[in-house]
Amino acid sequence: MSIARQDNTARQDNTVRQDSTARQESTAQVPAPVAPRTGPPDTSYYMKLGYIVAGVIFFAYIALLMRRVATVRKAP
Amino acid sequence: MTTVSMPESRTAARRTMPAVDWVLALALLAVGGAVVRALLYTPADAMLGAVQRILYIHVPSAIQGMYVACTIMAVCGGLYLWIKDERLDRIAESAAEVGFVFLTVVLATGSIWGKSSWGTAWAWEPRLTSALFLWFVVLSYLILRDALENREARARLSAVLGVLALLLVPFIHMTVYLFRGLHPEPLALKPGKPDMSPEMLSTFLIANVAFMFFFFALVRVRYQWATVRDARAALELA
Repeated sequence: MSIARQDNTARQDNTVRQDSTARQESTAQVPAPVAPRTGPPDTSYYMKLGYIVAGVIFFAYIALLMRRVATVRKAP
Repeated sequence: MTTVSMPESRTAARRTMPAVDWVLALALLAVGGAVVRALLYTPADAMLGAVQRILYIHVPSAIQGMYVACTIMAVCGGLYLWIKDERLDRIAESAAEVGFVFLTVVLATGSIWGKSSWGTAWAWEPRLTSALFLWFVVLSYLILRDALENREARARLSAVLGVLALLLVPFIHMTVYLFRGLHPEPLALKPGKPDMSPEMLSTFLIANVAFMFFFFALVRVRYQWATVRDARAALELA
């Protein structure tokens, strides 16, 4: 009875050791599903868009002002 | 009444309005310098990323378009109702038009920033809605001025609207405290120290000075043009 229990225990130990080894190997080969966070999100597209839109609005108004000034200067 | 011939008036217009306005050119250089500093020499926000740099054009435009332009509209409009000086009406008109441009920039850049940070370009929340309402009030001020032929009636009615527009400004400022919304509380125009790092704060202050210079340079050119326009209209009537 005691011999059988020893055998069984030994078999279980062996099985556990084999499983854990296999799991470790597979973990090392498959890349992590979520990339680690390394900094702020890339929002440079929105930043550039904001500056371009503001620039277009301001320069359109300056162009309108310059056109008015030119009209006044050319008028008889 | 002094009579001025047309060639003389053209010479006067050319003297008043040079082809290149050096004050405006300097103001553009100042704004360009502030933008270069904001984009290249100021660190990005740790949470929001690069889009936070919109702050350096969004908030200075809001300060000029909302606080400065509406105050000039109301004060000059109120003074016009009292002393009836046409120069005051022209200053109010010029500040309203330039302020409208700055308010448009505020709404446009705010929407872009909101799309990145909140996931939506527009939300009917108190600050955004009240700012849009002010934009419509200033637009109606400009439309009213275009619609009325009589100069005295135009100046009087638009002065009243200018005073009413200023009443909105403290309410818009307080919306972030009075109601729960998406828009953050002010970073600088509040009691206590601004919530920014020293580099960000210095860029923010430089951008504010540059935009204030730019605003007044535009108002100056617009005022000069309005002066010549009114002088010509008076000549044509005479």
